Amino acid sequence: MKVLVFGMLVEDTGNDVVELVLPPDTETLRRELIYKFPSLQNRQFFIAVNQQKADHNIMLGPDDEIALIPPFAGG
Amino acid sequence: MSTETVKAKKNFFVEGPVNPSLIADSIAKHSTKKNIGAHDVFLGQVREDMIDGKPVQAIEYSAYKEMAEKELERIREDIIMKYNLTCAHVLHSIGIVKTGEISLYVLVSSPHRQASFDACQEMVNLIKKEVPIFGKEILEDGSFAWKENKD
Repeated sequence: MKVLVFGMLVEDTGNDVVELVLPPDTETLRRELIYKFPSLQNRQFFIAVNQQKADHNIMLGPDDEIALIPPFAGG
Repeated sequence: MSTETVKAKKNFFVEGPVNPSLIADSIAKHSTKKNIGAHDVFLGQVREDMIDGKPVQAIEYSAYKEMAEKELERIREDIIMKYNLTCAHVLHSIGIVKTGEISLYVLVSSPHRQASFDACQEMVNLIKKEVPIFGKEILEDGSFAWKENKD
């Protein structure tokens, strides 16, 4: 499964796309990402599933578009 | 090539700064909409902030484009409905914008002025708060700092 990575978080993951084995849900994904990229621990970010903010734990499927999103800076 | 007959997908992003002549053209296009009595414009300009004693030279903008486009379209439609606007337009930069250059253009148009004032302010605030656009401030010595909008 591909995870899209944006902005400052690319410094933590080293790449704007991260390949992972599909975790069951967004909470597990968050834990696995922090385990794999420990500096994410100190970052503020949210997970988006199909371009919508996951504000609670969401089940993940193989066709979902998943992204890691840092604070916004538009304007 | 471009005709106004088909409702094309809105283009919210421009590469590099928003050119002032593009803004002038965009305003001029409204002369045919005779029910408009007021426009309100907001322009965001890249400011020369000091970070650790080093002046910002430019911001490099990036975005989660597909999500940002969806959010911008949702915000635009909500604001048009809420304030009964005639129309509303947004352009945001992607890529490098130097200090002193324009990175955001918002234009709202309505029959009367109060709706345009209120709508413009709310729209700019929502764009800053809800659209996944990211900014890297590039400093004089080539180092950089990630920008974060405050609430």
